[in-house]
Amino acid sequence: MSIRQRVLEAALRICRRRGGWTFGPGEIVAALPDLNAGSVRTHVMSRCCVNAPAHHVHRWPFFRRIRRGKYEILPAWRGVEVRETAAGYAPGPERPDPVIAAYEKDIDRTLILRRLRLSFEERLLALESWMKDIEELKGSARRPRRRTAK
Amino acid sequence: MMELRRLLRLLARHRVQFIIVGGVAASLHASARSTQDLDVLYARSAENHRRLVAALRGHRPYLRGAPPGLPFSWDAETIRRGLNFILETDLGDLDLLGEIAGGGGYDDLRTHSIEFEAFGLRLLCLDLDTLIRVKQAAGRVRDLEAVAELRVIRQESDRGGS
Repeated sequence: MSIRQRVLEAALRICRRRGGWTFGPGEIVAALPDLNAGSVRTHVMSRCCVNAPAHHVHRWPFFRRIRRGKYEILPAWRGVEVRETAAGYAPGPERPDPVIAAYEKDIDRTLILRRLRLSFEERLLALESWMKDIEELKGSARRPRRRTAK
Repeated sequence: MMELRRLLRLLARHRVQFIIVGGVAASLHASARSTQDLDVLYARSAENHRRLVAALRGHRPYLRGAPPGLPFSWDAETIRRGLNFILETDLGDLDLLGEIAGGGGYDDLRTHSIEFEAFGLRLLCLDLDTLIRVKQAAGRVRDLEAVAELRVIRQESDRGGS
């Protein structure tokens, strides 16, 4: 499990136990004693924080800094499922990534079922056709609109 | 725009050993997401490097996003010295990958690929479970969204959706 997932889970566990959606980086560090404290702080304060300066290429929009030492979990992630354990985190068999699980809820299964009925070649043709349509749309957006003569 | 069919035909005609990975592989597994480039994992052998050079030589391969005029020469030595090449060609964007995070190289992933037929060609594509694993290992935000969709595809396939 990645650091970001564990940081998000730790934040959710802390907030749900206490009530409210705010926490401090020190609490997350204390909740994840097996991880490097510096990495955990970097994740809370930078990589996973939407209003931090963009120092990292890969970032995840989990938290917002409210004030010095105070962060909140953004609404989109508050419903993510977390496994509660006495130790806070129990390494074990494959656990679903809470971020991926959150995205899964919004996947349109009807589109997928339709695609599953196609052959490999038909799927590639559908992709080609989609790319062509996008290109045409981009082209028409770039073309200046002509004024109609009065 | 990427000319997917022509790119695949070109690589196959020159007998390049490659596995389709990335967004096109996801589409082959029934993803409804779009992609702008073709990502392939190529075999790291001298013979395959020569085939790649021959295949792309006439299609102006150049490093995507690099300023024009760099001394980039498309030859077997360039491929041998490098690993992953993010290219633009006159057939569209092509990412040639010598290795992928969480998966390894062509030889590691050859047995985790499926063979399929399209446009009269027999091609290799990373299998669904491995594609999920390597995308999850990449860990980029857009990959996580793609993984979510691929997991739904896995669930629907297991239910008999295809």
